[in-house]
Amino acid sequence: MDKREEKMELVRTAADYTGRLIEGINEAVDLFHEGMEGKALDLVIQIIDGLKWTMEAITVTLDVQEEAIDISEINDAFNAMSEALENVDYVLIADVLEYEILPKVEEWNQKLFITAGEES
Amino acid sequence: MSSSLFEKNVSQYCKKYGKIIKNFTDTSNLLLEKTKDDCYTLKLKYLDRELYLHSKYSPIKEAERFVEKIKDFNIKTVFIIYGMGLGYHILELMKYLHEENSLIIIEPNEEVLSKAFSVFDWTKLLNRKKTHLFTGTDRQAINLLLGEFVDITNAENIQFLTFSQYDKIYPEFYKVVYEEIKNYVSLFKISKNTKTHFWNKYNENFFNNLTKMVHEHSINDLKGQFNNVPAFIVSAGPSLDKNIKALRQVQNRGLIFSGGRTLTALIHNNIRPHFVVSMDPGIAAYEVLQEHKKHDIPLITTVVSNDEVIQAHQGDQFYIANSEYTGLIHYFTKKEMDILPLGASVANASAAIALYLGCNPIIFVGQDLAYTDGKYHAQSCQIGQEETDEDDRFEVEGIYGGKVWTNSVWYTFLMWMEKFIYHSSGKLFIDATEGGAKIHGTEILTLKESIEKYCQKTFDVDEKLKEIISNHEKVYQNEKLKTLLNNLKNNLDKLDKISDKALKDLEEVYHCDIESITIEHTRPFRVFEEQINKMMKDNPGIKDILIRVFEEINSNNDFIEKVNETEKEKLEKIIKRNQEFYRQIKITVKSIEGFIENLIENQLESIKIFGARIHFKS
Repeated sequence: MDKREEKMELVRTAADYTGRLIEGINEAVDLFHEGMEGKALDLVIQIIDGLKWTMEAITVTLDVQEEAIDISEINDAFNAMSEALENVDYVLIADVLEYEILPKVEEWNQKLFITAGEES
Repeated sequence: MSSSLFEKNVSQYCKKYGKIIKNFTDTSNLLLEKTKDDCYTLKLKYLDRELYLHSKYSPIKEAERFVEKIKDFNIKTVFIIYGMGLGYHILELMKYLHEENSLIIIEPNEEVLSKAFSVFDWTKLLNRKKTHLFTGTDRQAINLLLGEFVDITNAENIQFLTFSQYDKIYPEFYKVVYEEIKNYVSLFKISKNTKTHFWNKYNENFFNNLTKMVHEHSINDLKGQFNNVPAFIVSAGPSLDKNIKALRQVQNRGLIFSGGRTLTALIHNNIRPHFVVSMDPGIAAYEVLQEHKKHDIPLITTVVSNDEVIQAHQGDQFYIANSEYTGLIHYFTKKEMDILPLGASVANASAAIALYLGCNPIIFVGQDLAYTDGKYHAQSCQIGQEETDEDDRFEVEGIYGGKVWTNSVWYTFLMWMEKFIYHSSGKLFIDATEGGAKIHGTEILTLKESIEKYCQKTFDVDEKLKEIISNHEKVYQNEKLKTLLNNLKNNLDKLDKISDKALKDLEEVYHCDIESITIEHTRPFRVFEEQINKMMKDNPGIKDILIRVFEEINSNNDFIEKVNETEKEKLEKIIKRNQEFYRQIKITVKSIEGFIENLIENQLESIKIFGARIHFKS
């Protein structure tokens, strides 16, 4: 498998993975709204790890992407999340997940599927 | 945000609750912030953190979500919302509420409420019936408020909902509210279960007690007859062993009230109480009397208390009415008979009786309400091996500080006693138990000190009792009783026939296609209902007999209308409700008729023989 093929494989994996990440974010938001903050926070840790991996995958596959993804767009959301986590503000954590992070991940998911040549 | 809006809300709030809400304009702890969708959110400085009370993106969507998540409610559900914030969720919830729904909103922080008042118009909420907007963190106030809203019919139909992160920001008061709700729910659950469990027994007791009840005394004969006489309420707590002998010093300088369990211990210590109080409907009340079942000490009891205790008793009896039997009491006895708040234990009841008699102070003895020295009862009052539930133990404040172990049943007695004391202003309550749980509102003294301090005046209790008894002559009226019983039985036969007819018609409707049923099909049932209503109006005794059927049906969530129900759903519910209603009437009628027949055959035997003779001669 050549380098390009390897990168395309990674794009396909990342496209699938961001789909699952979207589900995870929605679940965490619901958990916060249901008052199950413990479970929700466990999920947030996994989401952050997942986002890190996705961003790495996006960075190394930048040259094969049909619509290039700018991962720096999520920096503000990360800052807001870190402030919310620092304050242990569950309302803000859920807000940032739903209104800042989720739209970005949905956008990445669509762009990754376009590159992979599949419908998201 | 407007100050005129704030004024309008405050004025309405003041009209309803008689107090104002301060306008916290300069506050660094609470910040009103514009949201991304041009609404408002609140940012609160909490310790060294900053927390949002609402979404800073879309508080309206957040409110819609909050309400969407509420499941399984009907038009009788009591909503208790912990957290008002700016109130988006309250406005959303109000769209779905039926006028029957009760709504309690708890906002621990008055500053937050003042912000809500400056953002939205709350006059509609404040004008709404069955609604209370509570602010503050006072335990007693929330307890009293819950007492107004929660009752036996809705205790299992409460939605306690926490808005946003209010349980994290105000966790102490959250715990208080949660515990208070839990206590009310368990109190009413116990009460409902007891009622359901003893329903048949209450009725059996009532009819078996009738022959004595009609010619014995009403509690009203004792009302205010012992003004300012000290009352000693003797309970069977472990500390009783320590000071029971001191009660000998009371003699005729105070009234001694004994329960069934403490009677043997008192008699063994050569103390004859002035009254024995027996409340329980079950056989346990009879068994605890041990070898003294046939005592002749004046008995204070209720019309539905255990029939064997009453039958075996050889002395004068004083009956307290029961709220669910007032129609029957009047029908049979024509006596004025008061209802007293009797609580859940014999000591609770004795305190209420002592107050009714005019006694002051009211002194508790053996009222540990705790496992003093690890014991359940005083040694002198113990009957057989006592089993305790090891899982149901928790600590409460002790009489001499520190903590003592109690259980949920004793805690219920304690709660009732404290509330009773709180509402009995002007009376002195003394806890002379010398151990156990602290009863708030009592003065703590030893029994010896209590007697020395308050039993200085001799009062001829026996003479007074003789006078009361001779002033209220007993009239034996068995013949009249038999006539009344037969008349009641005729009414019950009529009820049974109406129910048969209604059930037959319902069966026909039920087997029709539900799609083809209209509200017209239910019209004939109104005729039956009207017949029953007329019978209840003509004879309140019938109303008493049917009260539990109504209670059961009306508090059954399966039959309570849900908000926004379709016509078909409503109709189906009406049919099922009616079927259950008439079935229950038939069961009740059969059971009461059994008690009446038993009473006529066994207790009014002489009348039967007398009647037979007349029949023979004719």
